[in-house]
Amino acid sequence: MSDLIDEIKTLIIEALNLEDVTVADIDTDAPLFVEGLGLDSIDALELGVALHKRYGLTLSAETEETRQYFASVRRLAEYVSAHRNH
Amino acid sequence: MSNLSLPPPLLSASPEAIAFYRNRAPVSYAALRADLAAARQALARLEAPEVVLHDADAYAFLVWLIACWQNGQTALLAADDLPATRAFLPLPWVGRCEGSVLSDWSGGVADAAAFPGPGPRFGCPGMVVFTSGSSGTPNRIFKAPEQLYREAALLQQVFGSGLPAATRFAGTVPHQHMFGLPFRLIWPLWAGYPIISDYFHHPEELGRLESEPHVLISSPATLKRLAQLETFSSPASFLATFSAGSPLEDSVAAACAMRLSTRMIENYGSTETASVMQRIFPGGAWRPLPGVTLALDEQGCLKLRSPLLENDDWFQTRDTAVLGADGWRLTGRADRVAKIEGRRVALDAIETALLALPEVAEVRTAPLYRERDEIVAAVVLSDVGRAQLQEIGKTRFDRRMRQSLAASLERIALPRRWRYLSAMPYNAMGKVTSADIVRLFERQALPPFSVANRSAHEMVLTLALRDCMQAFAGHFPQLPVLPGVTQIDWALRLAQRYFPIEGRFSDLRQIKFQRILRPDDEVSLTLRFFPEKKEVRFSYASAHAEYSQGRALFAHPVLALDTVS
Repeated sequence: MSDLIDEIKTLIIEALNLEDVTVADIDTDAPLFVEGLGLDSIDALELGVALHKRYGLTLSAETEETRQYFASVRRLAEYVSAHRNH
Repeated sequence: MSNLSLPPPLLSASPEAIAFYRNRAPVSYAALRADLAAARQALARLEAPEVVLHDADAYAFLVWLIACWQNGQTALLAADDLPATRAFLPLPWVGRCEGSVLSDWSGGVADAAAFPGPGPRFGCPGMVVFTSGSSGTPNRIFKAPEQLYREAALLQQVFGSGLPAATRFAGTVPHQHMFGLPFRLIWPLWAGYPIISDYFHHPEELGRLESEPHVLISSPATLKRLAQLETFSSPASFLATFSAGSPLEDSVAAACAMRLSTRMIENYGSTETASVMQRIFPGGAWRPLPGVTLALDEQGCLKLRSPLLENDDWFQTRDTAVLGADGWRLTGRADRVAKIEGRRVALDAIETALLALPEVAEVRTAPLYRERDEIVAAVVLSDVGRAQLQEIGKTRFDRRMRQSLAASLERIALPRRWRYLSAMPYNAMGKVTSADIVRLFERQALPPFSVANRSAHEMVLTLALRDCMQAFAGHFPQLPVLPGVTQIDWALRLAQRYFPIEGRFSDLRQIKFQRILRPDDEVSLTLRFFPEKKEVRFSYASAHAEYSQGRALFAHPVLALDTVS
């Protein structure tokens, strides 16, 4: 799981082209949006696309469920390992 | 072309009447006419239809300018005489400045009887002013003398009625731009008011003016400081004070109105449009000059027709405005409105919110349209801000800045990239262009790469150097070579991307450049991470040869001040 967590952090940095942010800077349990990394709605779209390309996941941005998976890198990693297609 | 118009007092004022005060000494119209005659002769001898004019002395500047026009010459106004400006304008330079071919008019005969003299011998009397273009290259803007004289006549028509003939015009702004020149020099010259040639750098110097009526031509930069001078007093009376250049805050206007017992008037205009409208504090709406027509385009931007423009076409501004019951109100600058992912974002609003933070001393924002649209911010921090940045490091500080703004701005407007500078990159015209800000955010791109091999602490990346030619740009024209600093930068950035490195880069060891890297080299980058030593080793190599290698050390805690990365 910890490899997957780092992989997802790398994916976030790459997909969102975050500057000056390293894998070590991203708190595994902090919220990705609003507080924590402070990502915005466009970031959510881009991240959704990247997750789809990498893991074949399809997220619907509207559901409460999806919102929960975006809650932190750890939650996202759990979701990815349960649902990935490749 | 003997019909060239001249400001009427130059022809009609009595010889002993005072035209100027220069170093506190009066200059009569007779002396001014004699100097104009001499300057005309000296200028004509250059046999140049275009000259560059730069002189810090307002009197000398105006003499040169009027003499140029009488000769039918065009004067290009240079904001400074720095080497770069002189190289940019390879023409004869006139006035007391570096590289001048004509620093005074002693080569001509100073004879007032020779004024105004014969008609122009060159073709095109006028002047060229430069504005900072959005691309960073200055734009040339031509003005005919008649445009400036018309502006002077309009200003006199609107504001001259309460000004006695002895009113002296004093300025705290330079005379070489399209606010200082028409307001400080051309208007009083046209209307016959004496002009104070000296330029008052510091507001306290205004205390030395004599107990006569004055008009003050100033700007928010000076007025803001004047408002803070609690002990300021001046024997002069200030009948009116004009401000332009940037928006004048109500509180500053109120403080200055009280301190100077003056009527505060803000001017709106630009180099292109000349003066457009004014408003009188407190609370007055903007009133256009006679003959100026204002309208809004579909975007809510102001457009105008004006007798001061060279033709009757609509001139489109990038300023947004609304027409209220009592007149026009300016609401912002449209070139200060960015479209971020389809949403309109006002840069002014972001900058206002940032300036309200105790960490921020100065700020400029710009939109950056790359992979995704985003706002970037260049910030000069306050002492408080610098201390915080030093304490928590750039990444956390960036995040804190975003969080501080989140209460007042929608998320899409929050800057995504930050640069902390010791000073703003002001250009020679005292402005910070959007292009200069964007340049701060350009980064050497990484080359396209694929991960050939990866384990927890070691990875091999295959690089496509020939698809990253910008990394070779200018280095060297005949022999493109990948710079060593770029090799190190790539290695560190890729290592930080893929390994959970704690702390920040602190040192390089054992760097060896064994062989030059060319665009066609098929090279891979090997990165090895040693977590316990906080060290990354990198090497660039092909199947046949080693190119470079080194060790990078990382350290905690962060003590270094992050600035432009």
